[in-house]
Amino acid sequence: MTDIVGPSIPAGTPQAATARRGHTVYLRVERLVGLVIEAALALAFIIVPVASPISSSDITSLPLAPPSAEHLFGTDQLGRDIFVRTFEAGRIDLGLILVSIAAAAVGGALLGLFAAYLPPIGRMVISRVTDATMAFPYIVLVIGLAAALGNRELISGLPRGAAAISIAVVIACWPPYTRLTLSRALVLRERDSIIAARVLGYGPMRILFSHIGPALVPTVVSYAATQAVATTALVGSLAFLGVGIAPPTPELGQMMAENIALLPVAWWPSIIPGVVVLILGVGFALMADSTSERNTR
Amino acid sequence: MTALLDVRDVNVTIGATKVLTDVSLSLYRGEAVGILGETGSGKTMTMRSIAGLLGTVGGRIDSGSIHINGRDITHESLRSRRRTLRGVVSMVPQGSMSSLDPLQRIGSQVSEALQLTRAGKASDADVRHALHAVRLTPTASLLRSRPHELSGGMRQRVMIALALASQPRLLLADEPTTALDASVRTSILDLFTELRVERQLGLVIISHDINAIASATDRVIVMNRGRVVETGRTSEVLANPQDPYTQELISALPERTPRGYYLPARRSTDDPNATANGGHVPVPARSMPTAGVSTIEAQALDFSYGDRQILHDISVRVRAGQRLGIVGESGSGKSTLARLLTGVLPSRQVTVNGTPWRRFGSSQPERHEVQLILQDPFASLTETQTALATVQEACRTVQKLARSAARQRALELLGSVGLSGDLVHRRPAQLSGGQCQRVSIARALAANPSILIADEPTSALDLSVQAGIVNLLLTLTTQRPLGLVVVSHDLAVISHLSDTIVVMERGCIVESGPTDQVLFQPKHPYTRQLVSANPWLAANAESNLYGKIRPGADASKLIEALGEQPVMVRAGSASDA
Repeated sequence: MTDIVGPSIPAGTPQAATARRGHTVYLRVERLVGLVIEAALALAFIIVPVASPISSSDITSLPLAPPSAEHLFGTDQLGRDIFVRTFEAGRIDLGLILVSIAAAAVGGALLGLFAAYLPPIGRMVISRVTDATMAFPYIVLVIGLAAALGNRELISGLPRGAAAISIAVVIACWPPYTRLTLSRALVLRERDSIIAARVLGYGPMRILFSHIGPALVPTVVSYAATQAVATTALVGSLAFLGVGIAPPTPELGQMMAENIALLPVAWWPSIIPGVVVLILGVGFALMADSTSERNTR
Repeated sequence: MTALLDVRDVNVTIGATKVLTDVSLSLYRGEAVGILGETGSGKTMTMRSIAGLLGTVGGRIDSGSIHINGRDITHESLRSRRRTLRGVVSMVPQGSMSSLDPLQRIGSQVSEALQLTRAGKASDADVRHALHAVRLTPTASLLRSRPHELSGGMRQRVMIALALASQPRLLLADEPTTALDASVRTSILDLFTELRVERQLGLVIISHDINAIASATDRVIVMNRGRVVETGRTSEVLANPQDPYTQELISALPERTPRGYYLPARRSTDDPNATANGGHVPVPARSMPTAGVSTIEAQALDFSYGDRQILHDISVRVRAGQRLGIVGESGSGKSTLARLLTGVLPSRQVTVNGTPWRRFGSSQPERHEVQLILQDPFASLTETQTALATVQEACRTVQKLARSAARQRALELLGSVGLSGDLVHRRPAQLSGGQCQRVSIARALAANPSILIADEPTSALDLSVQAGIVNLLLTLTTQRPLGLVVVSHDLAVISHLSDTIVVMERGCIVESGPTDQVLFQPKHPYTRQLVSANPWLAANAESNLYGKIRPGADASKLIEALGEQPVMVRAGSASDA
């Protein structure tokens, strides 16, 4: 048969189908690179502080020592090892981002899904609430929440201030998921497959969770990856506003904020945490790009 | 005389896939050639290689040549074609709704097309003239309207007017009559024939619709899997096909098989009932309907969307074991009626076993009694579920079976619709349209319904696949006491799947009665028009009337006999012109 040549691409056939296949491969590579970045960082964030003989709050050396074999990333103005501090801070930041985004995505998506099955009035109420939340300036919201919740240890085991940030991120981030799932679910609800399911007498819960919900997962995941990029920056920038995690617990934004004034003297205490934030952000961005591309194509 | 279009041994690949193999065709002025084939046969690719549109899908011509008007354009870029081929080739693309600019008024769209080929501005008179040429009356309101305000037939005419604006000598039309009603289709095809004669236009019509090809072309090229399998005069090829594929394709036309026989379906595709090929459909031993039989009934049903009344005074009744066909053109309200009967749309006048449907979505003991099969095979399945999961879920939820029992039952049901082995673990995207439709049927059967309502069950399918689905529905209704309501625009399909026919026009029932009577002695002018739009159906009717076909005779012989009938009335007159 000449109709279908095998999956191998003979040499010298460029053109779009191959290009498209190349494009898919490229997307896969992009996603893989993003995943590898995040996984490697997460692993390092967990292992390094545990394995290291010195703790993040130990003053072990002269202040502002430049990077050396002893202190890979140098030390800060108090003489604390930046290498250990950076990785510990990364663990807190990454954990915060993942937990808050997951909570916002799951909560927002479920609310949107339920809203699709509410009578029009209920749907309108939920839509207006999302609109109001989206319209609210969320930096103000975060500062207000941080002030209200204070630097207390809300949940034992978590660094002080982390819970406030996490709650603030969830409150600021859920509305887009609700909007996204609500609008998509309203379209899907009119699909023939749902009519067939209702003719079979399936209940609304079954229709929502096994016929509409699964189709929305890729959209939600792809949006969550996009939002993770923004949240990385948000968590990092909160320290500059003075509402971040309370010292002495290290946090990337806070490390930058503390040492930014010393930039002309010592670049490493502020630039290195910044680079870690950048790499985190790039990792999420690569994942987001590859998933959203796949959805729109 | 040089050929207007000369395609010679063209080979086209897209990426690593060969889509066209040694395709040749030629066309002279004033001649019409049809390219006939099913989905994936390469007919649109042929059109694209002539029009220079292969690049947009990443295809390229490996060998062979294409000459238009004696000029070699095989490898000419689209850019230079714009200059050299304007006024020579024009194309009517597929899909009149998506191909017209939805925001521009008809008048300005036409004048824009006219301006491309002339120096000055196109005057109003030119626009009117162009619309006149496609038999539209250029009233002020037409010129000011936007595409969505026009009917499908009018949009198609506007598209033709746009294509003719550059005064081409060669017109390519891609599926010009798909999605049009039978009567509109006839008038569009007549327009093509008239234009061809008037302007000595060379015409290439691509279609999967054998009847359209038969009525509008002189010669036909039958394509299958990227190859030309047969070519010749349309009337000869269709009456006496030589190639096995063409024979298969033509015999799969439902109107070429007498009622009461299985359609000849391709065994190799996805038809399970290999024994059912072309055989006589056994008459089921049905018990006489008694009081306990499930019934759905609509009594003096009126239905409106907002203040637009869709249905007027409709009364129908179907019992388990009966087969009802509802036929009508688009906008006749037949799909609305199907949804009302299923309880998807609410009405107090529709009763199931004597009780009206409750609000759709609320539980009701009669809910599972009536099941629905929809037109779009892919959209009617949940894309994240495999075939088995789909049917199994229905068995578990509706029949309250345990997990393993439901799985067993689901496999049985899928087997009975002809899906087994690896196929049951596939998702809709990995199944063909026909296979998806089979999954839908199996899912509906999982509820163990008494009545099955099928809304255009085969309209989205290829001819040979359609035959398989028709056979499946025939088998199902003979094997169990299942009531069947088939809604379709295709009288030929309906004729096989019904004992009683209801003809609908603009929301009213204009004729109803036993299938034979409606088909062979239509009373209402609208029914007559429907019947006469299908030459084979008429021929079939005649042969039945004159007793040429005796029940029990060998079906394959019957089909041959029918093939020799002088059926190509339109094709004959077209080639004379």
